[in-house]
Amino acid sequence: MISFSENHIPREMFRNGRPIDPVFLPDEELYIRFDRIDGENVDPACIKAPVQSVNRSKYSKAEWVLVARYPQFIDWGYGSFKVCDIPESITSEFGITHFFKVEHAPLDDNYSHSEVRAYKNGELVRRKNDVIRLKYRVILSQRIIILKMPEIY
Amino acid sequence: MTIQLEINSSESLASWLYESGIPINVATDYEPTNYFIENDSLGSVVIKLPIVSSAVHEKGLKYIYIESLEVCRGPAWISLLQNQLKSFQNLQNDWNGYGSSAPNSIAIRNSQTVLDILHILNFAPSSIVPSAEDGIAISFAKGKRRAIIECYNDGNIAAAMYVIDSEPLVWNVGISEEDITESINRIYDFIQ
Repeated sequence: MISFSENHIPREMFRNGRPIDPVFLPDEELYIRFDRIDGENVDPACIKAPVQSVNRSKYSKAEWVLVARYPQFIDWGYGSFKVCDIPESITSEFGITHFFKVEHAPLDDNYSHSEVRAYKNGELVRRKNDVIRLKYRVILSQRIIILKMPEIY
Repeated sequence: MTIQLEINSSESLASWLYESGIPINVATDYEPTNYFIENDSLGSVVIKLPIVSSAVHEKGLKYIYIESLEVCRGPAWISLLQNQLKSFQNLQNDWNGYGSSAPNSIAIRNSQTVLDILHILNFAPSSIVPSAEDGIAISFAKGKRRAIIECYNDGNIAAAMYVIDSEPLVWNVGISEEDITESINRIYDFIQ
């Protein structure tokens, strides 16, 4: 059991005026929390299609994804995937292609916060495409390494 | 009603129980001839059966009789899943801290339609959960095969089926009962 005391967000999590760091190496790990697994994988239903928030390992420990809204998620599980695990692109049955990439989006109380975002023709995807999203989520769910099992399932 | 189940091995028993789609606990600490059926706190029916060891089998135990299975088989999983579906009404927006909306009445209604069809087919999903994608996910699993039907808050429904560690086949289900039935049949053929 990981314990964070109330009002005790690790100091290193705070942004403290630090700038956006746009550089992600392919093997940088990204951390995500989840409340369900399916066998040895994360349940795809736990994964949000872009935009999906993650913590980047360059500025975060894996367990810090459980700190948000303490103690609401303290018994959830968490896992990691590498930047290179993000599907580069997915094309729908109608030939629509979305490109995926992770971008640093620091928050005041979570400098490591980043988002996996989808782009189409160079612009952020606003309109949802269920087929692309579900395919993306299933693929990613199989690439996440479970570091801590959820205790609530 | 009594259903006669031939037991060839503990594996076949476990396999039969798994395929029956009954949420089940198989106990290992009962005498081979003992079994019982009980309701758990969630309203699902739990059938407790012994694992038949080869030694016992060699002594001549060939059948286990499961009484009233027909009565409890359907309601067992459907009542559990319907209770879970109802519970999603109490979920708050941003339930996962990632900004996901709680399932709305449209997603719940469509999920109920999916469950109704599954009930008719006696095809039990492995789980029903809120989806991070603003809706409800109904999942199926057998061995390494997986399938998922997601009913979204905007009324759309999508489905996927895949073998673990391979690319999924994903499609838009449509919103009519006929569309949903067609996709469920497709998943049934894949999973079975």
